Amino acid sequence: MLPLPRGYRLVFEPVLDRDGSGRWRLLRSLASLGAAFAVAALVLTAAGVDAGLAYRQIFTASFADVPALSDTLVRATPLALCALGSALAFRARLWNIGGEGQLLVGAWAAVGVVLHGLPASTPRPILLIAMLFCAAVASALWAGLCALLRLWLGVSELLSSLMLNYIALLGLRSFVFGPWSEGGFGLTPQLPRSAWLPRLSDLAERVPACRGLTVHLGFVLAVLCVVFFGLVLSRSRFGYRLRVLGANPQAARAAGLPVERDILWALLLSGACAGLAGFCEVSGVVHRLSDRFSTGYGFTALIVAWLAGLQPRWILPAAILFGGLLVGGQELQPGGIPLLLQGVVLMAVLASEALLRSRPRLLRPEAGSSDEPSGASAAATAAQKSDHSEDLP
Amino acid sequence: MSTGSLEVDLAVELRDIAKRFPGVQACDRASLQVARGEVHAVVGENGAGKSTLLSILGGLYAPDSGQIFLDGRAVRLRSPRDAADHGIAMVHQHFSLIPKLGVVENVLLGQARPWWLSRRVYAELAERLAQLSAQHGLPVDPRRRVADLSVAEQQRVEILKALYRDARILILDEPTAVLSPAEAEQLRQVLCSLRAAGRTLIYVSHKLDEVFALADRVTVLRQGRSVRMAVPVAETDQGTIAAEILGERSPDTAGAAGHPERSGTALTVDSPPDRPVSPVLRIVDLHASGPLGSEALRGLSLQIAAGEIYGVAGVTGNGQRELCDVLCGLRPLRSGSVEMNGHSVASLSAAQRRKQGLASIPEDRYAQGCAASLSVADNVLLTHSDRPDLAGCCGLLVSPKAIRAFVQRVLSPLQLPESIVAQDPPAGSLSGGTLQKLILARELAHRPTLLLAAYPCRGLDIGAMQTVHRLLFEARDQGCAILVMSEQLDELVALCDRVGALVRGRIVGEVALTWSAATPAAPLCTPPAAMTRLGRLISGLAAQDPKPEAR
Repeated sequence: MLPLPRGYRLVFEPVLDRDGSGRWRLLRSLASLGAAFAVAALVLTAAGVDAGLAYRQIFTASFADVPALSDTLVRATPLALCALGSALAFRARLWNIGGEGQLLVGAWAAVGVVLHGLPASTPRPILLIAMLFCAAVASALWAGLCALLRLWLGVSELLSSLMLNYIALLGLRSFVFGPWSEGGFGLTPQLPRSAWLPRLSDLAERVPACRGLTVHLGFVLAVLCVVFFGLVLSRSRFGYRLRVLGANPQAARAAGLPVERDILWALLLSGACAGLAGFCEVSGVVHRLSDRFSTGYGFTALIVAWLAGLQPRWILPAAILFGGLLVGGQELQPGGIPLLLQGVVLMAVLASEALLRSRPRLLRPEAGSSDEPSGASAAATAAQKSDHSEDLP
Repeated sequence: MSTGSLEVDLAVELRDIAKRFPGVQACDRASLQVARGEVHAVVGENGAGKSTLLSILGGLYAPDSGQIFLDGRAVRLRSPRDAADHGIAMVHQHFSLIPKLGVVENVLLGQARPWWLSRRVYAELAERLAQLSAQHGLPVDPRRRVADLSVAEQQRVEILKALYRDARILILDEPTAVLSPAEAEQLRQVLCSLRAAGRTLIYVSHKLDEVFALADRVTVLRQGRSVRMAVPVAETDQGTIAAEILGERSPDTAGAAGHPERSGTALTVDSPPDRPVSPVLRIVDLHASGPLGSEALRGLSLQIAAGEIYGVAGVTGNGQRELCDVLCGLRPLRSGSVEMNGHSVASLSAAQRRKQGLASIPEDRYAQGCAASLSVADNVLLTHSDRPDLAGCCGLLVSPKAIRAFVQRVLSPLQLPESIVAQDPPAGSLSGGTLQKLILARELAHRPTLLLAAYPCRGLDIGAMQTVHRLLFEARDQGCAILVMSEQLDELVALCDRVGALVRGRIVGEVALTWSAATPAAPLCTPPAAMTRLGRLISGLAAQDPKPEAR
């Protein structure tokens, strides 16, 4: 409790989110970032590190030159795709936090179709498209499980999607240590070159500037997806229905909107986006499946999605920023700092959500209602009056 | 103000209680005198201030002015707990039980003692409750969960809770509204047993037959005032009390002067109708369950012709919400039939019914009628999102330009301020009246053949109300069949061609205000006569009053 003068009360009055997509959200996100960096600076200073120097080094390692930027974009690719998937579901107030599991299932399906489905001699474009397709469908179905559980049994998708993360990880482990293992390690054999997404460094022979640039075609895919789903959310009937569903599901039902179908599709598409992220990682970066190729992209993406205010157009900048933090934070000591930053950003963004929806107001004590003596005397005078009135008849 | 005998031993006296809520004077110097050990009924129309007055006695609200005396001593009741300490318990219309907990836990709720709940304490409590329920004829198994109990059993738990706390004064707010006739009779016996045990009972009801079967004395409230105080029921009759409840409404005020076509001389516009008479909506013997599994609609039948406004009068909670939900496809029906334009709609979804020409104005415009955080335009689109003419160049996507044009077209008859169309603010920031006009315009833009309007003018000011009425009249003149629900008899009489009284899930009687070949059965009434007759029907006096008045 705040120390307030007697009788005063601090209340949070609900207000409508006046400028939902506008500058308040942007300001809020920037303030959250600022708060996160300030808190992390305190921790760094307490650990005896020059925070300014540390931040400069993070920046140098992630954004200062073209190769660094390329690494950052590589990291940003799965973040953007997963964040897009989360944002899609969150818009409709469907709490799909199973992005990590869906990413793993997507990667599993993409690798599976190469190892068992198609011969290694398949032409590259066909193989890549098959991988992409399988990853998206498998992850969509994985997320669809949450939708079915919710629609049939009323299970909260928040719990089911979280739990499915662990099932996905353990299932993946059973494959990479079991049937798909190479020599008993937790790794599959390397994928054939035809299953690799083209990188900029592939052009190094013709364009020397591209030497060592790891950024791959998956980033283009991520940009296309962001544009596509941005349009879907803002300009399609489906996107409109998701917005209504998020704002007031009861009104959506009363208006006869296909609520059940939309919930199913929102979660399917949300899962598919995360699956594409898994495909990009195995095909564009690691080129094989292991049980620890993802460094929690699906979870970090939740923060990216909130930082972007669930707006597709802000997802790319937010993902690139966080990709940079992942790249630059690798070298940072103490090693927990990047995680700390992520945590504080999420806390600050979520806390400010409450501020967007309510306005603090200080209430003064009401005149005459709370103080005892005057009320009693009022009762006394009223009693006198009524005595007189009883005499009248 | 006439006053009953004062020499009796008063358990409760409320003197000149006033209570104002924003925009409404709920109690306007209302008084109540209840003798010890009697059953005292408080009757009055909706909004007469009954619930407010008794909530003040229950400690829920503090009065703006006035005094409360218990056993002749002035007291201040600051909270329900304060009231409970004075021996007052309230059995609410909507029970305050926690469904997941058992009967014993619910009875203990809010009790300071015992602070440690051992198995032995439970057993003792269950024993005590069993004893109490045997004593007063309140059969409830104390070991069951409240969620598994029927509505009547839940009410018994509420009463047991009061008895366990040894409440001397029990307030029952519309206790029979949720009960079947057999259960109501059982409750009557319980209350008689409680009276015999010396407890004081205050009984709020709309149903005069119940009041006359049970109560010793009755107080009538009208517009926040006690117009008749503590009349012994033996010295009066139902007709007198019903007249007191309605008051003397002059034909002019009853006929809602705002509508020239339906003033006191309604009968002169009695030309034979050139409207088609085939029913747009035909409901036969409809049964459906309410939220707690009880039967909310019990054999409801009605018909509405094209170009007709049909009103449903009645006290809220007699099946209005269930009727709306069943018609909209949001609640399944148990038996009976619902036909729109001659086709059964029982198996159709909400969306399919809308395609068949149904539109609806929901009861709660914020919870069901709009998405408050979305913009005005988004809310206009709510039931229009699959209109083909909104598509943009690519077919898949909608065109913002087409949407703007459509929204402007829908809102143009309302003559809203420019800023609302231009700035497109969130719907929740509109006033209740503007929002309601928006919803109505949105629904009428479907050109429905059947419009369902639940409490379309609830909480609106005169201006908004007149716009809503005007839009409804326009829709009717274009051949739309309209079903209006309202608690305000004068509004219904001003608006409707026919009004039916909905009591306990059935239409118990109808009056016609204009002549129509579709419904020769309903007696044709002038507006004031219709109000009197409807008031009686709603109060459960239909049996005593079979002959139509003012033919």
